[in-house]
Amino acid sequence: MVRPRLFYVALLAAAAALIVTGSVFGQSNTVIDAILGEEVATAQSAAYLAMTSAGLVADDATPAVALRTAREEGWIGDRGDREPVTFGEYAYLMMRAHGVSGGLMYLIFPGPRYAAREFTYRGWSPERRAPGELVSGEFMVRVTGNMLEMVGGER
Amino acid sequence: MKRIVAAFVLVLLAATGFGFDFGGSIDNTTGVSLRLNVADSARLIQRTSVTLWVRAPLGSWAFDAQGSYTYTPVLPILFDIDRMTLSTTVSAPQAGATSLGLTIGRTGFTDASRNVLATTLDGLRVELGQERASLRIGVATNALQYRPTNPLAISRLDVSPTANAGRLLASPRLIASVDYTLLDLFARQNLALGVLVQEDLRPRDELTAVGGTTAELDAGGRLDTQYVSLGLSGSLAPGLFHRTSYTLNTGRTLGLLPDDLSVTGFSYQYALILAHMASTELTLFLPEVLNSRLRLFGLFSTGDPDALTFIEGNTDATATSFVPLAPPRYSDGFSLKPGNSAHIGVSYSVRPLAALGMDVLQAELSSVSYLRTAGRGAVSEGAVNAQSDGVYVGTDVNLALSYQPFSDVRFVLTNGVFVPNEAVMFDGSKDVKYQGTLRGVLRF
Repeated sequence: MVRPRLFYVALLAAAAALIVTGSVFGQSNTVIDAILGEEVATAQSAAYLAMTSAGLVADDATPAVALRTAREEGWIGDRGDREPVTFGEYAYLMMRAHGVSGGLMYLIFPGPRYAAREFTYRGWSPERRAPGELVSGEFMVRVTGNMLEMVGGER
Repeated sequence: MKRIVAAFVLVLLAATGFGFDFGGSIDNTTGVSLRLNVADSARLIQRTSVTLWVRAPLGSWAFDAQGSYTYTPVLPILFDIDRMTLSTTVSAPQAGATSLGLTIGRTGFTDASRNVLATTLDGLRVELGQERASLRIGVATNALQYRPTNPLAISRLDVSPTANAGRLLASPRLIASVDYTLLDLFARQNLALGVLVQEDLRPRDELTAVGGTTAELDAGGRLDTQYVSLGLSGSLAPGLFHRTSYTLNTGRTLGLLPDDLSVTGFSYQYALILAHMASTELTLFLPEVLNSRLRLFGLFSTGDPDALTFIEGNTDATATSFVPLAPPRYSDGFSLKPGNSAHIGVSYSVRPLAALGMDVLQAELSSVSYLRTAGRGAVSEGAVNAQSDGVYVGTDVNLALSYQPFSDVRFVLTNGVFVPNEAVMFDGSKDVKYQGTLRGVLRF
């Protein structure tokens, strides 16, 4: 089942609280709990957040399925499920999944480098990060929440 | 050489890992400035900068550098380092602080009032953050900056086109500052106390000797200044913010002063600087009205009616004209630095397409009126006749339209006129001045 974006915003905003209160949203919550615990975010976690929040895979799909779908779309390189993902790669994945346009340089050279810039410029990332920097799962969830909140507000 | 550069890049990449980032920008401003009703007064404005920056984490430190090439008709080739810092922030509970920040290198320095010093210098800054207070200590110099773009050009020898013309670097000055801010002291108000000391480090042989009895071209002595600022800032009502400050300026300056024992009746002597400045700024944010912002601002600084030049122009026992170091500009076409000047301004900024969800256009209309507080004497603009009488200097009105079609592309079209008070201006500056520029910036 594909859930609407606003539901996802609420889910991400409440993610930390859900760790304490326990699972109420089934598998998606269990997966987000696991993502929040990642010191270095993995490719499959990034794909799961991007693809489910955009409604491109069902939220009860596994992270591995989300990663395979993202890979088929060509939005992420050939990565193993547990391989770390960079901030730029995650930002690019999110922008492609949500069909968000970037700056002129992103239009000419779409990719992680200018996707990361867009996330910083629009304030979705709470701090300036390099495109090649590794990020934690908690940071990724926070950034996702920020983006969905603002993109949702603009639409 | 190539091997050295390649090795440096490899070492940098190895040391910084995935956190290495770089980029740049191209920035061009083209425009025209002219006096209405004055033939052949048009002057082309042209400024192009290409900037490259690099950021890299080095363990718990961060390296941040930016260099640029700037073309202007006056300075066709100018390569400069805009900033280059090593910085770190750590938690410091032992020092009774929530955070301790350290920045070393070329970076921005400002004073507590933000009207005395707002520029880039080379130095060290320590910032101690506490729950309800912050302490900032800085030591910096301009000694490594180019002479033509010296941000602390405050003495006659610094601005003279002939003296030290072949010299590459600026006359050295040392800045030391301590700013202490108490956050949310009462009614959401922050209280700031700042002390800034500027020491003139030029060697004695470059300076005019005390006791000389005849006027010398480009004469100048040691110009040391100190500033004590008290500021209050915070929220007055929902969406309404203010920043108010007072600054006491002391120091010493050399001048050709009356001397009964001199054969000419004058001699070069140091005089005490005792001057004052006060400023206030009110900003009202109206997000519900097309994301608009209304700003009222004003500044008053004491002057010296007998000063014939703005820089080292004192002619009596006490110099009462405020001596700014590197103040900001207050308007585009014409701006007076603090020192025998006051201004009152208003600006209104609106984002006309905000309601349509297309926040790409911003329009700002601003007006600043300038006054000469002593009623005569020199101000920072040479177009004003120091020996004329008159308080009102003129009004600058600007309309700036900013269009940002992409996050990394921005165009700014600025049109402004300066309407001077003819009675206080030199011939050639009595007519209305128009300035129009188009600026385009691409970040990559």
